[in-house]
Amino acid sequence: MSKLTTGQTVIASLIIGFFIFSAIITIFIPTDDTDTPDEPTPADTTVIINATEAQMSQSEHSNVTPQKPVVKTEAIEGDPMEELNSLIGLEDVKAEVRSLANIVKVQKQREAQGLKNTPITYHCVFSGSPGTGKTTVARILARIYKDLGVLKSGHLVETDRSGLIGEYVGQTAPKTNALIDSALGGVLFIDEAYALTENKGNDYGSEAIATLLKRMEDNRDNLVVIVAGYKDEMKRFVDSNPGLRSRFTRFIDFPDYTGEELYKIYLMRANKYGYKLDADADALLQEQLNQAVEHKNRYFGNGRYVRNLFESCVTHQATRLSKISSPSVEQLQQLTKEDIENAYKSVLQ
Amino acid sequence: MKLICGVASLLTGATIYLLFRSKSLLGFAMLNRIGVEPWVNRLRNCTAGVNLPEVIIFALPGGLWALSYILIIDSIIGKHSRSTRLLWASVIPLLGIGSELLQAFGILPGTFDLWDLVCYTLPYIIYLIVI
Repeated sequence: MSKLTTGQTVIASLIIGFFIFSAIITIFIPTDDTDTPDEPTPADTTVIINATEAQMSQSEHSNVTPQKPVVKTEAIEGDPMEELNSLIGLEDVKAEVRSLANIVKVQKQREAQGLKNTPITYHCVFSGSPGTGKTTVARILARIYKDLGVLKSGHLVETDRSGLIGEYVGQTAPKTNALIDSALGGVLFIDEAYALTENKGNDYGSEAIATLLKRMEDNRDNLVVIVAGYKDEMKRFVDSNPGLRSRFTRFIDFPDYTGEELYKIYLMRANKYGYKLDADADALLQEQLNQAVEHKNRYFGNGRYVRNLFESCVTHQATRLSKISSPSVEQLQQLTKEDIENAYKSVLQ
Repeated sequence: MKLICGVASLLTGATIYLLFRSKSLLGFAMLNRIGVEPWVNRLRNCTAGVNLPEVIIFALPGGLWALSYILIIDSIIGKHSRSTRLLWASVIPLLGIGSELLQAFGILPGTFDLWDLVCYTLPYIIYLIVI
């Protein structure tokens, strides 16, 4: 065996040292997160809708898959927990959100005391039928995260497959990236996210998911993603990709509203716009909402159904009142049994 | 030539790490400290839609790391005897292979992966043949 010169030995040893060092920095994960989260800024003041309004007007369309543009809702002032509690029904959802908020709160308190925290995931899967309040709760959760210092601004960027997928090769990743950029500091809400894994003649959905996963990793301190859709489809969606499975571990199920809850939502809406139901109309409304719930299919619009029913009632009331030359204030406010009947028929069509 | 190939191999492996591996690794924390993270993020965003097979992302960089070491060290001690070259060139590949085997037996923390082992072993075996 020939001996190396001193110079060669030193260089060879330095090279070995360098390679060992490079192995260490590419294998080990720092145990303490040294990144300091950004200080929360004062809430943005653009008020879009309050919670009860949101619950009453969850969508412009009923039973139709909406082509959702990108909707950005700024965080509003006020106590999000109070708003959560004011929502009709959704008791299990409220309990889940409260428990999540409690975990975050305690984590922050531990952090302040210099104690170590177990990593928790803020990303969620909201599963449930259309119109069950998923978007509304996502808006509230974004604000809760902001109040607890998890997110900087707490706004919500709402989109669906069409907001992430490009039309041509090479457009999807930049489009998804741009959307994610707009959601930084807040929550990105992807409705009907399972559509990303449905094969629609191209692989752009996978490209969008790959982009999303990478950005979730890169921006784990200032981005929360909530994916939403039907329960079974969402389960399949998350199971379709190991990256999704490991990041989306928190499922919150939104049950369909009961007839009584839909009735309360209707009354809230009627009250808001200054309408009253007479006794017969009230009884019929309850009966028909119970019937609608009993005979619902999976596409039943829940809150959206109530909204459409109410709007149809208003239309039928106007048709009825058009035959009266000068209706009284009482008449202008009153919704009758006939209006409810006609509205129900219209909605069924 | 060996040196250039070694450096190129090292840079390729580092690029894969930089663009496709988890940012929770210590290396990224260091990049963050020296303030180059925005540039790294920009690069990662450019390749965000690229779907590489897992073996390329997770196993190949280890193989390129071992290959790079062999080429660089051999460019320095290439004129020595076979046994000397073999001794020095074995250090890093054997470290990789050893760590992988120790993971397989549960002695070292981590997940054993056959592709990792293949990637560490392959350049070493080729070197043993061609030396």
